[in-house]
Amino acid sequence: MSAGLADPSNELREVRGPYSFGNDRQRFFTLVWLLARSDFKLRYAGSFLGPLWGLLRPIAIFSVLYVVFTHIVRFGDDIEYYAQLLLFNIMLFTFFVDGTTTALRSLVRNQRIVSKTQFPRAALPLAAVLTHGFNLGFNFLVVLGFFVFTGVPIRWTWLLIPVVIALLVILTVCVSAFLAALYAQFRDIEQLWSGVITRVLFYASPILYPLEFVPESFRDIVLLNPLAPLLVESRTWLIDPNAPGVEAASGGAIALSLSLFVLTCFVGVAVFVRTAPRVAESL
Amino acid sequence: MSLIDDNEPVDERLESELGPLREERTELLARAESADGQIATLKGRIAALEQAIAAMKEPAPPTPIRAQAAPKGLPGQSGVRSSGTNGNSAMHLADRPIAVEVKHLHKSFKMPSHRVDTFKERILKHPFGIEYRQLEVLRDVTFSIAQGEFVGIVGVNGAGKSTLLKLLTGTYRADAGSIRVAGRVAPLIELGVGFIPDLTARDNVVVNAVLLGLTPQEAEDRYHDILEFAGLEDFEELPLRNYSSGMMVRLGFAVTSMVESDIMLVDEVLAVGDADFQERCMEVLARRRRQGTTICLVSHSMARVKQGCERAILLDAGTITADGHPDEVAKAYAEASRAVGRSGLGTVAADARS
Repeated sequence: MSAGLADPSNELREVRGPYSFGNDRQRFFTLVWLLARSDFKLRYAGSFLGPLWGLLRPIAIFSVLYVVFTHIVRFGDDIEYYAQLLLFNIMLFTFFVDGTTTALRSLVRNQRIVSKTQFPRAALPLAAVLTHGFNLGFNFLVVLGFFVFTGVPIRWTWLLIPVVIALLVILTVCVSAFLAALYAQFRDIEQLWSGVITRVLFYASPILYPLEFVPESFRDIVLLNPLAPLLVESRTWLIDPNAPGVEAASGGAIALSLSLFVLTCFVGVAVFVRTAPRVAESL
Repeated sequence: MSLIDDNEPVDERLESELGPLREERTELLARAESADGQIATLKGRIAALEQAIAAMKEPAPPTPIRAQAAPKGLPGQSGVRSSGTNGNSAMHLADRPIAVEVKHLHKSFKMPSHRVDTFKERILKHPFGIEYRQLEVLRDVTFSIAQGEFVGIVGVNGAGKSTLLKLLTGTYRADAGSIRVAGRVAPLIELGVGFIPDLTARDNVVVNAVLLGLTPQEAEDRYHDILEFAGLEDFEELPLRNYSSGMMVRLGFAVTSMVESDIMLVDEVLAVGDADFQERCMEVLARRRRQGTTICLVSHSMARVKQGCERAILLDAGTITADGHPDEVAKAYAEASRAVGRSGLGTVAADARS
């Protein structure tokens, strides 16, 4: 059992205090997986429809918006496969918002384990994102089925969609890390993020409207939002290869957008790594 | 709770008679200890010679790290000692490898004079920055624990015990100084950390065990032993919210005691649960000790420390003021707690963190 006295191989090692990732990669990912799994079970514990809610919610939002924009405001009529586009965009955006808002509270909600055990701190926000990743994976299959069923022509560019999803996951994780670290100290972050910024982002991103509806002088600005290029590119790859993609913006805007994406990710992780070791003390 | 029976009113006449007797006792104990020390030194030399002989016979085996005279205070001595300063005071544990080594540890907390939770408060009430009060919880703490030792760290509320333990487990980061440990550390700070009431025992046990340092495979393998040890085989699929608090504590303790470790750091977990449970805890600790596990018990109860520990360290206002045999440390502790009694609860603020 215990090595204790008999084992001279027990070398002294430094205890450095809490860390964000740790050296033990296997333990890190095991924890992320287990925490996400129990969070997922907890989320739907005792509910009749269970994980189906993860699908029903985006579908409900989609239905309302679809009716509004094809029968009342009536601009969706002119766009090829508007329903599919809207549904896909809402699915991606729902993942981003749900992932970041759950992760935002992750350190505070689990403060007992944060202040009582030693484990890589980044596992908590990452697990929160992964919980919603389960929903995203399932929803993606359903939406893809819907595409095929409604006659969207299958293209080889569909194979590129995992790139969009991967970039979205990276962005969500980095923003989540940033928010979770700040929320431990400033509780206003929650109101600011889930009450204001995510709502603004919903209308500021090309979710309801395609990029060609945006006046050309505005396109560069719309594409600055790190979510926008992902939405625009997935449309070109999934639905309409002739739709304006990222290349619709000027070269400078693309470079700016790209560096903004990288900067967001970098700042998010840097803030987390800086704050995480002392987060147990500020809870 | 009453820690030592000095609180009872003692007749002054008896006290004057007791005084010399006490001094004599202290002296005798000191002598006995120095004799012990000499024996240990000799034993250490013998062991070293034997090892040297063995080394000559065999190709060099890996040499374990040796304790440099585990700092252990003599009665009456006080203040912080740095290890390895006095070569002559080799103790009976000096020849064992070090399990925990703490050097010049400092920890202070920034306490805002006013709690600020929102941007509005920050901007409207304190536009020129928040004033912070530096609260020094640990000051230049140095000690080491040899492998297989059972050490009790005692101190009044706010002395810095829990902060020290959290630094040792790695939940807090030290401001200065170093902590080194040999082997796997298992914190026994709170039972059932991270238990989620809405999930079943199975889900909770696996997550909890992995948080405490097991691999998922080990957790799965030991799952049935854990349930059996807790006596909860029939309640496997029941959500924890339907457990009685006793069942919950039993489950938490069963998980913790299944986690292998070379060093166990125990906080006041023993305080929860009934007498039967406490007895079982002490049993497990005793068994682990026989297996060679190093145990560090943090408590404000000197009685508990006397009961099991072979050595006690007294923390007072963030520094080590006594270190040695529990009986000797008990005296210093009684004085320290009387001092706190006089000055009121001035140090409670420090404990609010833990």
